[in-house]
Amino acid sequence: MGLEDLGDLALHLIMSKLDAKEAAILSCVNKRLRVSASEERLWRKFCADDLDLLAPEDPDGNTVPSFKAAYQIWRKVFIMSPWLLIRRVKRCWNTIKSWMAANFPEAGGTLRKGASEAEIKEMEDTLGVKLPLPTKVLYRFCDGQDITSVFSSGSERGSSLGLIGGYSFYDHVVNVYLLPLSQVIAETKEFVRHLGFSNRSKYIVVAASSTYGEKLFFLNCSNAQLYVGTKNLSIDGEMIACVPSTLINSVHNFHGNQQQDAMLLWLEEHGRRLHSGIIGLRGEGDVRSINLFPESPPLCSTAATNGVQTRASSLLIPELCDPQKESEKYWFSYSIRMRLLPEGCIINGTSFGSCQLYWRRWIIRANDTVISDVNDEAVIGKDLVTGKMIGCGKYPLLYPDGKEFVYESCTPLTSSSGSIEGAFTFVPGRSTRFLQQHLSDNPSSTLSAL
Amino acid sequence: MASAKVFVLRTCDGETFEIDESVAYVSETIKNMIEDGFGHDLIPLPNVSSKILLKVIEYCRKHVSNFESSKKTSNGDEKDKDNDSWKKEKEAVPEVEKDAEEKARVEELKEWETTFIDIDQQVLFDLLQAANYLNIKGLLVMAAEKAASMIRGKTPEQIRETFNIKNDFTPEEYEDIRKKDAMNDFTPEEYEEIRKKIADNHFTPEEYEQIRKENAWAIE
Repeated sequence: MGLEDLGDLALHLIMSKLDAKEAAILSCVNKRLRVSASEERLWRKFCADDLDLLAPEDPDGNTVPSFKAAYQIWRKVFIMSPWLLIRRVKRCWNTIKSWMAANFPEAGGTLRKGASEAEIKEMEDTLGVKLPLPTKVLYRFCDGQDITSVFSSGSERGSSLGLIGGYSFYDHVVNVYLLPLSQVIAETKEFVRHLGFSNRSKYIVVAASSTYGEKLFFLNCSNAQLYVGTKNLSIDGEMIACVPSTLINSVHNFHGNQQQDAMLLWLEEHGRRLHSGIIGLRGEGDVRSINLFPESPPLCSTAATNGVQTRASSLLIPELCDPQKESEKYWFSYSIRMRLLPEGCIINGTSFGSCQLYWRRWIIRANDTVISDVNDEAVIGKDLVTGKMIGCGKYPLLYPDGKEFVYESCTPLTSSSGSIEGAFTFVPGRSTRFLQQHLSDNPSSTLSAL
Repeated sequence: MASAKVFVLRTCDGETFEIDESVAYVSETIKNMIEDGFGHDLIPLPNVSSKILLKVIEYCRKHVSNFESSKKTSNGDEKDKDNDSWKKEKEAVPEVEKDAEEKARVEELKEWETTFIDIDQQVLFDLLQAANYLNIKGLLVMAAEKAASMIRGKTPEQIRETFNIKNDFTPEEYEDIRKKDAMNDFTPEEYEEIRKKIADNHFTPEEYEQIRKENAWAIE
């Protein structure tokens, strides 16, 4: 009894312990083994395990005759890149695309199909750079977003479909999208010229805010780090690194172990945050966008008192940071969201159908030093849906309809770490009732740059 | 716990073997036969030779005694007395490894397994078939893994040598397979094209060689 004499079941059991490459080799040994090693159920498993591929499709989504053929095509199309990296990047894009399809299809629809090897080579030659392997594979799977057509039509809509999303407070509006290679070339050339970078600069522009707020992301092709421009970007090209450098690894080494660069890590983390609900969509109907203020613990503090719930989180705003000025080294924005829970405002067993903000108190600290102490009447805020300032005069009214009242503002800090802590005072009903029941909420939010 | 009950198995070459009920029950097939009422006389196993049954019984006995001693050192579940527990114990071991005693038991088991499955091919495949017929999951998995380890990392010709398999493809058929089926297999011209592309991308000669090796499957 030899290997080839074994029953189908036994052979299948042995083959299920091999990987795709070993099975392909086995199918070249003799006719009997070829039949066994070509079984569809085996290749269905390889496609699912290695590529998260549940249907026999090629990288463009076209159906092919079998799972084995599908696996072969994928290997052939991506022969120029390490296979493990292909699998990891595919998983990264799957994560993002599946979230988009389920939650934000209008933005998901702007994702372009992958760039070819030739297109990437052309971009590299034009700009005189060599993309780190992980970024190259990222572009092979998806060539950025296509919202330029929306821009040219002059509509505001293009400004909300950024994959990375953003925030807005006062008139500072940011919504970041991923550039397709054609725009990477155009924007990089312009910046290199404008900032007077040398011709051999390894920086390329990879992401930008589609609104008037200027926020630009650069990839350094040498050290594979991602940078975001500070306030001084257009003056002297000042940028801040986005990803811990220690994580960047083996980016030009085809046979390195676990290649990862800043772009891959950044997108993987973004996908993770979207899926776990740390960040999500804001707005309704036509005006939805991904908002970067964290929505859930631990990056968002939440507290509820007597039916009033408050959530608070904060963000570093690098494009406002001015590292050359001590007092404005770090700019943070904080977002405080208040709403009345469905049961209404309950005090001592009595329920009220509304309550009104009446007083605000907060303390902002840079590390432990108090830099701002506010103790004043109410606050002006912005209606999340319409973007207009609301509030009865300066005193927003909350109803138990779930609608959140949002107050967002910003503050410079001298340190990379700080906090805002405080209390809002509401009166039940409306302030004209003159009831002085004090309701306080104590949201506290830690501001820190990682 | 093992009862005093004993069963008699008869192999295809006429030999008989006596085993305890707990040992017999390691085989789902035998267990079903007994439960269906066939345990009073000899239980015939026409597909299994005595040489192989000896090995199978050795496995089953070890399985039972290992399970008994694991109950003493960890939280062994009475209900786990089936083939799955062999696999489950192996997977759960990292968490269960609290006591030194438990650790020692696991170590000993690993060593025993390595020795047990260090058998020649003929016996291995017979054992695989027997484990399949007798429905002994743990043994099946162990034997399959051993066979897989003998295949891994080899070229087709090396596999043929190891298992004494004849190449029954005609040269034309083989060329066909090489071109169509063997993954990412390239003609010399295609290689030249790739080599040029790779050269432009600054791969070192060693890296290029590695790419060529990794993707030139099924070539001798």
